Order: sequence, then C-alpha cells, then structure tokens
Amino acid sequence: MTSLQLNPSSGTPLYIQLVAHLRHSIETGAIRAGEQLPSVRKLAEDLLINPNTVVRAYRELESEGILVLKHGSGVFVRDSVVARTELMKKAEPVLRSAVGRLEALGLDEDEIRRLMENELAVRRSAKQTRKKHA
Amino acid sequence: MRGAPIALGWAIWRRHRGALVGIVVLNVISWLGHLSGAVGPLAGEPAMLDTLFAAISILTVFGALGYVETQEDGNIGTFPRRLFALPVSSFCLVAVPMLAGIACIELLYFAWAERLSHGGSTSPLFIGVLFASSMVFYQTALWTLARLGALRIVVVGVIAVAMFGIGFLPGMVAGEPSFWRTERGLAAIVSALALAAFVHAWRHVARLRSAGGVAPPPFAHLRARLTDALPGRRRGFSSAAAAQFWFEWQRTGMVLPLLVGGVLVLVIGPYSWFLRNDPGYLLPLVFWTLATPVFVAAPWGMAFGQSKPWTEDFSIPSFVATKPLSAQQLVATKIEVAAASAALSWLVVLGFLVVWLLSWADLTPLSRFAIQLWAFQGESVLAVYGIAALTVTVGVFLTFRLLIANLWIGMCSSSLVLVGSAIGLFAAVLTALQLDVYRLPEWLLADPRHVTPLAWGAALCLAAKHWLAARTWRAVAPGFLRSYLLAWGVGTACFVALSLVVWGIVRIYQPIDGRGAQSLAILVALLLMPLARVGLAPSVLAANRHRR
Amino acid sequence: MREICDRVSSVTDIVAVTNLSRTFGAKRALNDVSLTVTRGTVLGLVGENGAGKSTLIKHLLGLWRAETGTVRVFGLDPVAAPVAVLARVGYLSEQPDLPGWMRVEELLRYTQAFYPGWDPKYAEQLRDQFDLDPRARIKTLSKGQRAKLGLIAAQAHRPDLLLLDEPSSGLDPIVRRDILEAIVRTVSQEGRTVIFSSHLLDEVERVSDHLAMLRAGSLRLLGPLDDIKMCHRRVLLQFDLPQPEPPSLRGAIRVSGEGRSWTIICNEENLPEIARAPGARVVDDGAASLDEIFVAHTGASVATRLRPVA
Repeated sequence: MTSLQLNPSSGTPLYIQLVAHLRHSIETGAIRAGEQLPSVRKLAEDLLINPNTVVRAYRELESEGILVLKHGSGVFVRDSVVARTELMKKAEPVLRSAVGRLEALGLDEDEIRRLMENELAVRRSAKQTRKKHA
Repeated sequence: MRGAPIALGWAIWRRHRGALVGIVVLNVISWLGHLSGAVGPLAGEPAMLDTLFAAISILTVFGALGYVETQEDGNIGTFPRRLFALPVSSFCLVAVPMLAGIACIELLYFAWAERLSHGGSTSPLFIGVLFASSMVFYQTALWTLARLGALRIVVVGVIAVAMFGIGFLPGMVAGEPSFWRTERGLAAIVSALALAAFVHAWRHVARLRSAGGVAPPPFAHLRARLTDALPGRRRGFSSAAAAQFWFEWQRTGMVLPLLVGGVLVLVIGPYSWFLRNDPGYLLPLVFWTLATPVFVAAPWGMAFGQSKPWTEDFSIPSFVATKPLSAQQLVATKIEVAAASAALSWLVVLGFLVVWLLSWADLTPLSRFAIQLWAFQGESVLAVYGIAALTVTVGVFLTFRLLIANLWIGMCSSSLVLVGSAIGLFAAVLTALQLDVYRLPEWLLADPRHVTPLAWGAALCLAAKHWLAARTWRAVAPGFLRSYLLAWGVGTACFVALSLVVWGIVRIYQPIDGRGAQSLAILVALLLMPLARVGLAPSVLAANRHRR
Repeated sequence: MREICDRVSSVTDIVAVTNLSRTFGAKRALNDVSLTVTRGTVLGLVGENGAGKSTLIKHLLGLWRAETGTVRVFGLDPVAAPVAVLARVGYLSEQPDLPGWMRVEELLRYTQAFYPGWDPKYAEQLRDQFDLDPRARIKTLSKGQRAKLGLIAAQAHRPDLLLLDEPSSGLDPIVRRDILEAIVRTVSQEGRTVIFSSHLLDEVERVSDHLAMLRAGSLRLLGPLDDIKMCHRRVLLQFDLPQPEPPSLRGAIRVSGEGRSWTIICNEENLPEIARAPGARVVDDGAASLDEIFVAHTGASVATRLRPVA
C-alpha cells in the first residue's frame, strides 16, 4: 500500500484510482487470494484519504466479485478471484473478435444480443436435460 | 552616506508625526495661556495645567521615540531588523534614533523649563543631562533587553524612579557632601554611564546584524542547567481553575513583587545607606518603604486586567479565549493572582525592612515612636504589635484593591477607556497637589462644620456604590459573589479598624470635638474596597471575548 | 445535565449556521452564509485570502458574535454557552499563539486540566511521534514544531468537533502529513467531525467529503465534494476564426485562452449548449479538477493573457 500514489487533482475520482490499484495488485499477485486487506480505518489513515473513499472502493470491488466483506472479521480477497480474473482476461479477446465478425456480417447491436441470449438459453436447457438424465 | 541619517530621521518623524504634532500643539496652548495671562503660575508654583501638559508631553516623547518594531514571529518589539539590509553602518543606525530622542527630549525640556521650575535650586544643566541620559538608558534597555519582553517595562520603570531619585539627591543631602553627591559629580557619573550604555547598545546592534544574533547571556550554560533543574510544572493540575491560576501567575503575578523589590533595592536601599547617619530621615524612609507597593500598584493596576498589560492590544488572545472557561472563572482567577501578588510584594517589603532595620539603621526615632504608641494605647505592647500588623494588613488590602479596582478597564476592548482613565487619574493627582491636599486635614480640624458637607457627600457616594453593586452583581454566580464578598468584608473591616486607630492617635495630638470627623473617616474607609467595578468585570470580559 | 447531554448528542447537525452576516467597517466579511455540517463528515472550506473562512470559523468558536443570523454548535450558541461548546471542540489556528515561556510538557499538562476527556497516553504517544522535547520552551521551537504541538493540544482530548483554520500554511510536507493524518483519524473514529480551511486544494480533495467555497463573504458552492466535481466540466473549443475578444457563451463560468483555442469551465447542464457554440468545435471535454473549479469561481470570470508592452 505504501507504493500507492493517489493523485487527487487528476480527472479520475480517488476511489476509482484506488479500485484500479487494488485490482492490479490482486491480478499481479501482490495481494494473494484469501488474504485480508487492511481495515477501512487503517487504509484511510495510511493513504490520508477520507474513509468514505475507501468504503466506496471496497464496495465497488465487492460488487465486481473480487473482494468479500465478512462482518466482524474484515475484508478478504476472494479465494477464486485470480483464476476468474485471468479467465476474464482470456475471454475478452475471444468475445471482441466474435462481436467484430458478427458486425462485419452486418448485424446490429440488438440482433447480436438476441443471438447471444438465444445461444445461452439453448446451452442452459441442454445442461438441465443432461442433469435430468444423469 | 550623507543622505542616510537624514532619511532615517525623516522616517522617525513620519512614523510619529501625530504624536509629535500633538506635543507641539500642547506646547502652543500652554504658551498662549501664559501669554494671555489666563493661566498664571500661583505664587511660585507651576500651574497645574502646565504640569499636566508637560508630563503628557514627556511620556509621549518616550513612548513615541522608543525605536522598536514587533517582529512577525513574536509579539515583543525589538530593534527594527529590516534596517539591516540598508547600506548604512550600525553606528549610524544606533546614533540616529538616540540623537533624535535626545534632541526631542531636550527641546521639550527647554520649552517647558522656564514655566515649570520656578525657584527651583537645581541647575537646569543637571536636569538636562538627566533627561538626555534617561533617553539613552531607555533606548538601550529596549534594545538590549528584548529577551525580557514585556518585563522591560519593569526595568524602564526602575530606571525612571532612579533618575527621579538622583534628581532629588543633591537637594536632600545635609552638610558638606562629597564631590560625588554634588550636581556636577552626579552629572559626570550619569553621563559616563549613558556613554557606556550607548556603546553597549551599538555593540549589541552590530552583533545582532552581522554576528548572527544576540550573544548568549552570561553564564548561559550554567543558567540553562539551573532553569532545567528548576521544577517546571511536573505534577498535573487538580482542576481547571488551578491550571488557569498557574498560567496567570506566571504571566502577570510576579511583576509587582519584582517591581517593588527593584525600587526598594535600587532606590530606597541606597538612600537609606547614604542617609544612615541622619536620624531625621528614618521615619520618612520607613513610610516610603511601606508606601512603595501602593505607589507601584497604582499604575500597574490600571492595566492589570489586560491580557498583555500596557500594550495597545486589548483583545483576549485566542489561546485563552478558546479554553472552556467562563468569563467569571477568568475574572476570579485574576483576582486570586492579584491577592497572591499583593501578599508577596508585602513579604518583600517586610523582608527588606527586617534586613535594613537590623543592619545599618539607627533605630532611635523608631523606638521613640513605638514608645509613644505604647504609652497612648494603655501601655500595652500587644497593642503596638497589633497596630503594626494592622498597618501591614491594610497595606496588603490597599495594594490588592489597587490591582483589582480597574480590572474591568483592562478587560475592556477599547483602548480609549484605559487612556482616558490614566489621564483622569493623572489629572486628579495633579489637582489634588495643586489644591494642596496636605492642608486638608488642618482645614477639616479647624472648624467642625467643614466636615458636614464632606460627610454627606461620602454617604451619598456609599449609597450610590452599593446601588451600582447590586445592579452589576446581578448577573454573577453566587459562588463567586460569596468568595469576593468575604474578601471585601475583611478588607473593609481592616480599613475601618485602621481609620479608628488613626483617629484615636490624631485625637491625642489634636484634641478636637466632633463625631462628624470620625464618621467621615469611617465612611471613607467603607468606600475604599471596590465592589461594583469588580462585578462589572465578567460582563466586560465576555463582551471582549465575544466581539460584537 | 445528563438529559441535556443526551439531547445534544441526538442532534445530528453538529454545526448549523443560518443567514450569518458580518461587516467590519465598510467591508462585508460574511454575506448571508448558511450551512449545516452533519456528524462524521469532513467539511473543506476553501476561498481566496480575505474570503471569510477565518471569520466563519471564529464565529463557530464564539470569538465573534453573530451580527445577523444564528450560529449553533452542538445545538448551542457558542456565545451564550462557551464552556459547554468549547469543552468538545479542538482548535488549531494558522499561528497558534502558544505562550513562549511555557515548556512543552507544561502546556500539555495545562491543557489537560481543562478537558475531562483528555487521554494522557495518546498525548504522550503523539508527542513522542512528533519528536518534541518535553523540557523545551515553546519559544525555542520552530514553526512546524509549534504547529505539531498545537495539533496535540487540539486532538488529545478526542474532541467531537475539530476546527482547523489554515493549519498547513507555511509548513513543510511532513507536518502537513501529520495534520492530514489527524483529520483522517478524527473522522474515522465514531461520530467526530472536522471542519478545516486550506489553500492547498489537493489536501482538501483528499480528505474532505463536503466542500464549501467562499468568495468575498458569500457561499459560492456548497455540497458533497463528488457532486461538485461531477457537475463541473472543462471544455476545449476550437474556433474556425481567431477570436479577438473572449467569446461570450451563456452558462460558461470561466473562459480563458486566445486566438482559436479557448478553454471553458461550465456547469454540466450547460454543456450541450456550449458544445453547440457557433463556429466552434469541441476538441476536448473532461471533468474539471478542483483547482480549475476554484479558479473558475473565485477568479475573474474572463481571463485574458497579458499583452506585452510595446
């Protein structure tokens, strides 16, 4: 945390800078899965920012699924987070090229979304039928 | 280089033109008065108005030409450091304000001399030398003793009293004096001292400028070790009131005892030594010793209520104003400090008396007086001791009274009130001297009927005082009122007791008739302790703290 | 007494100022200022020199009596009940006028006597952390050390309201860090509030969650800091023709630049209209920094470059 340099006067809000830094630390392994992050109070005092900013950053990361707030114990990195973020990183280019190809074919946004939802629904029902028969 | 002294002198003039023009105006008014014959000297005595104007002028000159400026990091005045960047020698920087001050004071002296000193035997040159030297000592004290801060006033006061004393010394010596006690001898000594002071000031300023600041005081290491070893406040304070008492005591409590000690050691002590073979002077000197705390407390008490006494800053510093203390507690603390200060000053006086009377004093006149008292009080030794103790107690209460009577003036946010009261007091004293207040007792005793109007006047004043007190004390908490009433009661009782004793003694020497005079004495004693004004202090302080 | 304490503690508005005005002679120092501060917030007070920040803080301490309007701290009037209010307030001013003759430990013991909530261990820990010699006299301390000592005296009794009046002016970055740390520590403890005024906008941006901007005694901006920053945008317009005079655009708070390029600071709602300015193209558009917002509101509304003297 001491390497973090927050710049309040840049265009990005402070909590977004903090979110980006925390996410980067987790992805690069500086903070390991399952490790406890400093409390809101301690982090605010270390970084000299308002505690509300830290609260917002933690909540944002929790909604992204990277952190889990356990009442009474503290803030922890989700155990499975690294695998998932790496996976997410791998999935991004796949999705980008697929959407790019669909657009080249001449489909618009609504049509692509409809196709995607159809495909997911088909796979979901196939999974359920496989479970029923298993 | 020629232009530099002129520029510096002009800067002095420009900064204080208001004050200097005022002095000139006073001079002109007085001169016109003389010319038109409206204000004439009465039978060899200088006119009261003249004396008043002269005193105001002299004080203004000293105040205006004190060549100091407050630096931004502190609130004491030191030699203006901004001048050090100018291409002017230190000698010039020191000499110009000194010479300007000397010129002003000498001009003033020669302008007033012929109007003031009618039939005086002291040579004008001697007085002129004394004035010039006073200015030199004054400037030197202000510059070289900047470390002392506000206590410089103490030093300046002592120097002023010493100068007065030296002025009167030639006239007081009986018989064939040695050379050193004649006017010429004293003038030589004082001029030599002034020259030494000038050189010291010059060295000090030069060092301030180029040698990196003020030299550490002599034996700095030793003193540092001593002050470190002295108990700073190691224990905690038992209450907020105790903490505030300690704070106020450190700030203003020690001034009165130090001043009294200074006057006794530097003025009355030497006088008593020089006059030790002259029995006629013993009783007056004892009287003046006992009167010293009272006379020193009178001017000090005028500004005692101020947070920074005798400065132009009347505001309550935020360090004190933001403490969770009510205005009443602040006033109560000041009153306690005044009591302790008065008590300590009288301890100093008693200590000095013991040392003096037991060492080099010729006690015959004193023992004669004591035997007379013993005889008239029914041959009771206890009574004599009782009277002595009563006198000291009355002295303590009188000093205490002088300190707290004008508490509300110092706490007021307007400087006009203080200046006005100072001028008023001065004018009252001068009027009293002019009307020969010494002759008042004789006038009273001559005809009993003279007493009646004065007694009625005193009674009216008493009634007004109590009515005012009832109004001002309405807003004050009962606890504060109770404790002050106790002090007031004891003080008034002591005053009344002493007035009765004095009356008894006077009756022995002057067998006169008249309960009237005794009632007058009692009424005056009842009027002495301040009541209404002390009740006014908390509301005035609150108004100053929460500025409108 | 307990009921009064309970009543006061249930009031969530720590500070409530209504229609406060103050004139000093001819100058209007505060002009109809109204603001409330709820518990647990950090209010940053910004403005130019002489805008009225110190005057406002002094009204909260009761050092000035309200000329018009009311001032309530903890629900009480600081002029009518100074003891009750000041016992729960910690104050650090720009130049703490600490008595020079006192020693450090004496000052701490003296201040301790006034506040029942004083924590001696905390004070000692801070004194140690700030590296202040307890036997040193205050007049021998540097400006930064005096500020640190004033900071200890202001926060060691864990006040409910911490008032800081330009505490960082003229101090080195290390002391400024200590002051920020005190602010964050105070507000992260349950129920404590901080109001501080400063010129250093990046400090204000770091630790405040509410902002009040004063200009010439009037309140120009008041609200949560994030809202204020989101509302203001900086637009860079490129005109087809060089403009000899700054273009007058409705809704622009500040216009600066020369020739063909002009930078506009404006409110978010006026952005579409400004983007449609005739003969202009939007080259860049972003969130305005607090520095730019401050200059926009307090400086001249039109900034032109000084023409060189011929």
